[in-house]
Formats: sequence, C-alpha cells, structure tokens
Amino acid sequence: MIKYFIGKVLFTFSVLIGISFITFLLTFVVPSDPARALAGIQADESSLTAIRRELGLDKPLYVQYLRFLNRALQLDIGRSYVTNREVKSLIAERFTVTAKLALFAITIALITGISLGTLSAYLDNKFIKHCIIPLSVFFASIPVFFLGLIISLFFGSFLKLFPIAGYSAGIDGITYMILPGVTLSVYPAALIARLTTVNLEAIMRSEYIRAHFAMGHKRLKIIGEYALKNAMVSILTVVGNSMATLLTGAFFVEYIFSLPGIGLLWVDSILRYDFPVIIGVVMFSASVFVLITMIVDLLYPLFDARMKGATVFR
Amino acid sequence: MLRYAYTVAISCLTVLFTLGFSIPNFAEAEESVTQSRPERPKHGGFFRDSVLSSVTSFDPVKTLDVATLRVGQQIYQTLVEIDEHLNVVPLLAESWETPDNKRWVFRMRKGIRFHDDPCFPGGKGRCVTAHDVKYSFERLMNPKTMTVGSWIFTDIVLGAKDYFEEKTKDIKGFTVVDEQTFAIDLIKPFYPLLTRLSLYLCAIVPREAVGKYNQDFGQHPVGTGPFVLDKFVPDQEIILKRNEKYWEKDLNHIFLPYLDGVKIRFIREEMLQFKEFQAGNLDVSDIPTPVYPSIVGETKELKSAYSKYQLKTAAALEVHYYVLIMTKDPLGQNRALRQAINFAIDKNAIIKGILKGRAKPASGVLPPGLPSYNPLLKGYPYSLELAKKKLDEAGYPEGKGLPVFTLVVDSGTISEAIASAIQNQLMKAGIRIKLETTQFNTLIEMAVKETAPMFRLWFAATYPEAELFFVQFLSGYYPPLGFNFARYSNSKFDELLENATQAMDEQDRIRFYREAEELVVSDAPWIFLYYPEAAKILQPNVMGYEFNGLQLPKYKYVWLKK
Amino acid sequence: MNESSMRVFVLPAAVFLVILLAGSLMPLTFVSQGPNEVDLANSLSAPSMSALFGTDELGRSVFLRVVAGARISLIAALGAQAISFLIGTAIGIFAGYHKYQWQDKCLLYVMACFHGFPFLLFVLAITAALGPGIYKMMVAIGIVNWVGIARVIRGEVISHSERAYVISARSFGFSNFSVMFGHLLPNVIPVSLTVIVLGFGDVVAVEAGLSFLGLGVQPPDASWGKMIFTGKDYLTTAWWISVFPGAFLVMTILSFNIIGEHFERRLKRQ
Repeated sequence: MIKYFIGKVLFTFSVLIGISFITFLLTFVVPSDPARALAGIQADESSLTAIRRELGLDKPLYVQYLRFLNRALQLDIGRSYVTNREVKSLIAERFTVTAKLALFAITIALITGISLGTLSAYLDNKFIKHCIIPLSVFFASIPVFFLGLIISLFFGSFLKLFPIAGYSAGIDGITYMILPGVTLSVYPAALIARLTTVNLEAIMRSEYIRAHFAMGHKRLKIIGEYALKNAMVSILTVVGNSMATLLTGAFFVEYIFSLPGIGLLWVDSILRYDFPVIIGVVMFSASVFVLITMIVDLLYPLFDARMKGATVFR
Repeated sequence: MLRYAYTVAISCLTVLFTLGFSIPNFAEAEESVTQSRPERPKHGGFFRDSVLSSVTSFDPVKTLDVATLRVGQQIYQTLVEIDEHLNVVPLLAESWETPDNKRWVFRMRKGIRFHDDPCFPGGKGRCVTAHDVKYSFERLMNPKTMTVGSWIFTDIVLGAKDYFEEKTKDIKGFTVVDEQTFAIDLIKPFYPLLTRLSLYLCAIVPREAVGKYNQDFGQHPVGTGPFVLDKFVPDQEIILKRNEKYWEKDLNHIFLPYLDGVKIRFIREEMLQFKEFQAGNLDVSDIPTPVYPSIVGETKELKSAYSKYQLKTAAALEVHYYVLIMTKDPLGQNRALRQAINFAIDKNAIIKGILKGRAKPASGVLPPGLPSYNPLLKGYPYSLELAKKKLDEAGYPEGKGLPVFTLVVDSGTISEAIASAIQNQLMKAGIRIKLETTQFNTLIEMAVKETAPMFRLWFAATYPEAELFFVQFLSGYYPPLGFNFARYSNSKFDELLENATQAMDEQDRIRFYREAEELVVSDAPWIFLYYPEAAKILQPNVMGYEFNGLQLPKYKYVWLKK
Repeated sequence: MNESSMRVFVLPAAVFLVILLAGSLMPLTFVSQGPNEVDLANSLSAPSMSALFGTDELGRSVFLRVVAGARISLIAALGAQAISFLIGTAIGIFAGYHKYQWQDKCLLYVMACFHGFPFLLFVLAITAALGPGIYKMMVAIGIVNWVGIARVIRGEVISHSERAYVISARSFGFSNFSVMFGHLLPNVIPVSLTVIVLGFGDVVAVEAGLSFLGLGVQPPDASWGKMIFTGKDYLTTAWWISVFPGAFLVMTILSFNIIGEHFERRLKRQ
C-alpha cells in the first residue's frame, strides 16, 4: 500500500519536471523575440543585446533550462509583456475566480447527475432511462462556447434573470457566477448522469444488493447507502478525468461571461502573444491537473473495496 | 402641582418635537420653489463607466492607448487642455506668451498641489512648480524610461534631439525661469506646440513618486487632477475617488468635481457593455454597430423604445484606411495601380451595409471638424470603370500579371467584414487579395517589420491639429519611432508641411495643409476609407457629460441628477 | 443498458453524417452565389425562400457558408486525426511491443507528460506559436492528440503479445520491426480506427473553439466556429448567423459520438 503511494507521488513529481521541460521548449517555438517584447517597439540593437545578456539568452540550452527551472521553483515566472506585472500575482488573483467557478460547476453537476441517476434507479422505469441516456449524450455533445452563448442570450438577455458579465468578490458576487457555473456544469452533469444511471442499474442487479432487498430494506435506503457508494468509484474517476475538460471549458465560459479568471487570462495572453503569462498559466494548469489526478488516484483505494481487501462500508 | 408641571413639560416637549419634524417640510417647500430655476450641479454619487481594453500602466510617457488616456486624464494634468469646442484653454498654465514664435513663456498657476501620497514628506502633496514641468518633459524625452512620446519634442525643441540621443544631460530648450515660470525654446516656429502640450504624454508628474515607486510607478499615479486612484485591479476594475483638495472651480465658484468618484469596469466587448448599460449597471456606453439601427433613427434621434436615455454624437477626429507599404513592389512604384485600387472600392456600400451609416466616406486624410478639412476634395469616388482604366495604365490590363496581395487586418467582426467586402470589390476589378487576421498588437509589429504589403490601420487624433494627421506622411518618421507606416517620402510634401507648421496665420496654414493633402491623395499611399461617427448613450440622470471629436470626456464636469 | 438506449439513434446519426459528407464534397461553384459572395444590400436578411438560412452581415448566404463550413470541419478533423493516428499507432505499437522495458517506460513517461497538459491549452499554445491557419491548426491538434490512441494501442499490443501468432512470428525469426508492423499492426488497426472515430467529435469541437477565438480559419473562409463567433453580436437581431452553424456543429459532434460508441460496443463484443 505504502509502496503504491510513494510510487505515485514520485511519478507525479517526475511528470511535473517533464511538463516544465516541455513548457520550456515551448518558449523557443514562439515567434516573437522576448528581448524586443520587453524593451518595447522603440528599442535599438544595443539595448536589445544588453537585455538578451541579462535574460541569459546567449547561454547554452541546458543552462537556460536550469535557470528557468530554478526560477520556476521559486515561483518566479517573470513579468507580463503587456502589463509588466508579475505573472505569479496575476495567476494568484485569477485563480480564486476560476476555482470558485469550477467548484460551483462540479457541485451542480454532481447534484444533478447523481440525482437523475438515482431517480432512474429508484423508479426502475425503462422509459426514464431511455430518456436520460440519450439526453445526456446530447448535452455532452454541445460545445461549451455555443452553450454559453445560448444560455447568456436566453437567461441573461431575454429573461434578464442574471447578470452576464463581470465579477464581484464578495457574497453578493454569487449572481455573477450562476450563468457561467450552470453552463460549465452541463457537460460533467451529462456524463455523471449517464454514468450513474448505467452503473446503478448494473449494481442494483448484483447479488450484494439483492441480499439487502431480501433483508427487507427500503429501496431508497439501499440505493443511497449501498449502491451509490459502489458507483462512486467510477463517478470519481470520471470527475477526475473531466477536470481537464472542466478547466478548458472554464476558459471559454470566462471568455463569454467576462469572468476575470485564469481562463480569461489565458485567452487574452494567447491573443496578445504575452508569452511569460502563457508559459505561467500552462505550467500552473498542468501542475494543478496532474496533482488532482494524483489525488484522485490516491483516493481510489479508499472507495474500491476490492483494492483494500476488505469491505469498507457496512 | 408637580404632576401638572410634568404634564405641561411633556406637552411642550411633544409640541416642540412635532414642530421639529415639520420644519423639514418648510425646507422642502423652499426647495420646490428653487426647482423651477435651472438646475445647479449636485454633488455626490459614483459615475459608472467601462473600458474595452485593459489599462495596464498610468505612466504618461508610456501611454498611447485610448482606454488609459480616458482614465489617466482624470488623474494627471497638463499645462493646457482642449475644451469641448476643440480649443486650447489654460489648465496648469494660467497664461502664456510668445513674442517671436520661437520662445514660449508659460506662467503656472499658484497653489496647485499634487495628490497626497506617501512619496512626499509627511504624506502631503506639495505645490507644483516649473521644475516639475522640466522634469516631466525631460522624462518624456529620456530613452531610459522607454518612452513612446519622444516624437513630441524631438525635432522642434532646442537640444531635445541631443538629449534623446544621450549626448547631453538636460534639454537646453526647457528653462525654469522661476518657480512659476517655464520657458520653451524652439528650433523654428511651430504653431501646433500648444495643442501638443495638451497630450497626456506631457502630463506633469512629481519626481518623488517616480523615485519611490520605480517600476511600479505606472500603478501608483500621483497627479494634480480632479480624481485620485483609489483601487486598481487590472483587467477588472478601476475606482477613482474625488480629490478633496482639487484646485479648479466652476463658473459658480464651486469646487470641482461634483462626483464622489468614478467606477470603471473592464468589459471586453461592446455588446456586453451595452447590455450592462441596458440593465442599469452602467451610466454610459458605446452603441455597438449591429444594434445601432434599432436604437438610433435616421435623424440621429433615439427611437421610441430608448427615448428615456440621452444620446451624444460627434464626428470623430479619426480616419480609417488601409496602408499600402511603399517600399514593396509593385505597389510602391506604381501610382496608377494604387489609384486603381482606390477607385475600385465602393465606400458608400460599406458604410451603409456594414457600418450602418455611422461614418462618412473619406476622400482624403483630414476628417470634418478640423478647420483645414476640405469638403471640396474629390478623392476617389467609386468607379469600376476608372479603376479598370487605371489598371490598364498601370500595365496590368484586367489584372493580368498582378500578384496576390496579402492584406492584414485586426480580428474583429467589423474589421473582418469590411476586409471581406473589399476583397470582393477588388476582385470585380481583377485585383486579388488574400486576407490575414491577427491581434492588433501583432498587426502593429508586422506593420513595423513590413511583412505584408497592406495593413488595416486607423488614426485617432489625440489633439485637434491637422499636423498630427500629416505626420503620418513625413519623410523619416518611420515606425517604430514615428507613425509613417506607409513609408511615404515626398520632399514637396515635407516642405508644405514645414511651411504649414511655421505659418502663424490661419489662412496660410489652411492653404498649405490643403495643398499637402491633395498631393498625398493623388499619390495614394493609402486606401482611404472613412471617417467614423462616434456616439454615446447615457442614463437619463447623467448631466455635464461633454463629448467632442477627441472622444476623451472629462469627468470633472459630470454630475448625477437624483 | 447503453446499447438499447442509443441503438435507435445509430442509423439517423450515420445518415446525417453521410449527407453532411456528400454536401461538403459537392463543388460549390454549382450554385450561383458562392459562400463568399458579398451582397451588402441584402445583409442580415432573415431566412426566406431565396436564402434558406438567411444572410449574414455581408449578405452572404448562411446556408452556403454552413455547407462550406462542413467541409472545413471535416477536413480539419480528418487531417488532425490522421496525424494522431500515424503518430499514436506507431508509438503505441512500439511501446507495447517493448512492454515494461526501458523503451516502454520512457514512452509511458512522455505520454504521461503530454497527458498532463489540458488538451486545449496545449493546442492553443502551439497554435499561438505556429500562427493561425487551418493546416497549422491540424498539426497542432494532431501532435497533442496522439496520446490517447497510443495508450489504447499499447494496451492492445500488450494483450496480443501473448497470442500464438505473435509468439510464432518471433520464433520464426522475423525482425522486431516486421513483427510490429507486419503482424501486430493489421490486428490493432480496428481498435485504432475506433478511437479515431470516437475522437472526431472532440476534434471538431476543438476546431470550432479555435476558430471561435480567431486562431483557426481565416476570413473570408467559413468555419462553424467562426460563424458562431461573428454571429454572437447579432444574436438578438439576426439569430440565424450563429444558430444554424451551431445546430449543425452540435449534430455533427453528436453523430460522431454516437457512431464512435457504436463501433466501440461492437468491438468489445468481439
């Protein structure tokens, strides 16, 4: 067991190094000249050479990589070309917004998805199942930016129920999160609904559950206490895997609803060719993603009774 | 006995109390009488505005973009400013004189203080002196600050060029005569000096703030303006608060500004901005072109559904065009070809169909609103026939033998729509172009590096002077230090422009400018497109919002009706 | 389970895709007004008999542009998946063949690193570096997307490696290369193709997303993502500019997903 943990952590760490290297390589693929970008359009050759020397651009590749890694570990990614603010403060500011959005969306998705799946299992009605699954497939196929536009048009402009742009940090800011949060939650909700429905149906037919029926337990109790827990494994895996999609989906949602999160920072920096920020965001997101995957992997054994070799839930 | 006393006392108190409550009624009655007189500006309230692009730094010497100008101008001030009729009026300088047109002497107002800030001893802002003017102007010319405004003084002020090339330690042409008097010595007479001094680039900054904040000076502006920066979250919002110690008064001797402050949100899209305005979350907004026809009628009046709002329009001092890079063949060498391209474009169709009538076709360079604007200039009215004739003349009958030109435009619905329409129109004449879209910053970089023969650009004047428009054709004023993106060079033109800026008589100036314009138009280094019309829609309770062709409104006169 | 619920949709999905394919292959010069033909006088007109889906802000026929967009989306998806197929299958076979040896471990590591990047992030970064344009976008998607295929193929190869035909091929003295690409490859291709088809939906969505941001197709060419983007300002005044391409986009992605899953089920049954 411990070996499993250590192995996973070490592996994740080495993957992070690998990611940093790939990101570093990216800085060389980009077409703009970092020295010129820093100096501004006015600079002449001599100041450009001076800046290059300062940035260490004249040293061999591995030296540059080590310098890069060294600075990255100290969380110093440099300053944005556009705003000249430190990248790490930009990311820190924006991250709270994106995190709130993602948490909000995942919560809605889990609640909706699991409820629908549970409903289907509870009612044990083929018709409902035949509705939920195709609808889930349909909703999962809608690209998030198009969905965002439709929702913004309908609920924001026609019905004028919620604001469609902007952000406020306090509790009152929650109205700004509603439409984007709902938009973002549709894809994972569809996945979760489908998965829950299908898994629950299979679980309900297993011997383990039939035993509970024989013991005379109520249907809802069985589903809630026993069946769901077994389905949680796949649900959590799906959630973990969909984190990446959630992150990228968040980008589009932030763009459409003007939420100042990491996603918007990302899109803006791409469109403005603001490479320090791009690099910073890529490394940050990749690291977050990898770490979340690792956490999900580590939590996996907690839920999977087979893995632990004993029944965890009674 | 005592009991009676109590009763009387309490009754008296009750009567007094009730009277006390009714006294405000008297006051109200008085107020309702005064309301029939013209309204006096009321103090208070926050004005809610928005910007479409990010504001990153308020440092005057680094600022060219409109969003920063709009906000920064409320914090920093210049020697002179432009009023709503596009005239130069005193601001930090209370008067000036120029006996020989080469030496300009400015007298500064006394008692104007910088904002309170920790960079000053004791945190209190000190008085502005002529030393600050010299410091700010030299900073503007100092290449170490990565200034984008060196062009303002380089060729006109004595010693400015040497300073910029780091040959001298200070600029001879800037003299501090005494604490309140500042003098500028020019190399030759230059009429537009005054209007140039109204630019945000020439704002007066305190050396203490630059010294203390260094690299972060852009985020810690310390000026003399009606508002101070209270909160600055880039890409999110900017909050300006009233400068309680502001020096300026209105005509009734009441201290400006009226507002408690200004809240500026960063809303990246025009549509979103407008929707927020409709929802009542903004006090002013642009009107996006797609919805313009449903809001504004033919007579420039708001349609009935929107009649509760206020509309302000102005002919913007802006010209939109496509630059034809003159160093690239065959465009650069072949005037008939350039003229053919110009003739092939149906500007009116574009203005009507895409811009929904919010522009005038550009026959030349100067937009209406400037005294030198020439309404009789013919330019290139749409004529497919003439286009084809010119194409023949150019040596490419029916477009045979012409290479495919790349046109780079900025990505944006309107911009791309215009480009697609023009591509179509040119095709009818036999001229083929390929479109490339990119972000605006990249477009500028590409234009500087001349990586394509045609670029979309526009020029919005930041001060109302014809000379500013013509600087784009001056030899040697090539990017990145100048605005001559077309790399046009014509000594006759340079001469005419020189004569114009040295002419102190307005009629002479107009003559020179118009001759210069005709020369440029016939040489056609641009595809002349249109002069846009700007419009703002305001909430019913917004008063005092002045809007002119420069599109840089001042918040100090704005007040909110209750 | 899934089967009975989705089975009824497989045929309509297939039919839709075939029509889409046929439509996009049709040379557009047949029709009098091409998808790029500007007609400013008729801009922003609602759907009618003469303009089936209405006209956009330049008076171009939205219907024709949707058809042109179909072609672009399919070509982009095809191109990107082809690149992923080539790279992914090759690497997958190589890794699976050398299972658990250092080559495999290295490749697994590389795959994990690539997998760690959120897909769109990576594609966006590369597109920003390479520049806009549909072919560059295909390459960008292709070189990021191969990981999924590689993993699946590797799994397949590992499970095949114990099979009789592989062991006998090795014992007959066939070279490694020949075993990998002569024997294993033909057997894993069906799996590979299934993954590819499943991925089409995602790629179409990514292409639309990139074009939405302005990084894919260049004007005046039509792409569904681009049309949705341009049309979003006109949602209240001319909804058809965004809604029609959007609807087609959703239906295309949906159809690819349905068909891909169907293949997957059939494969699993084997």
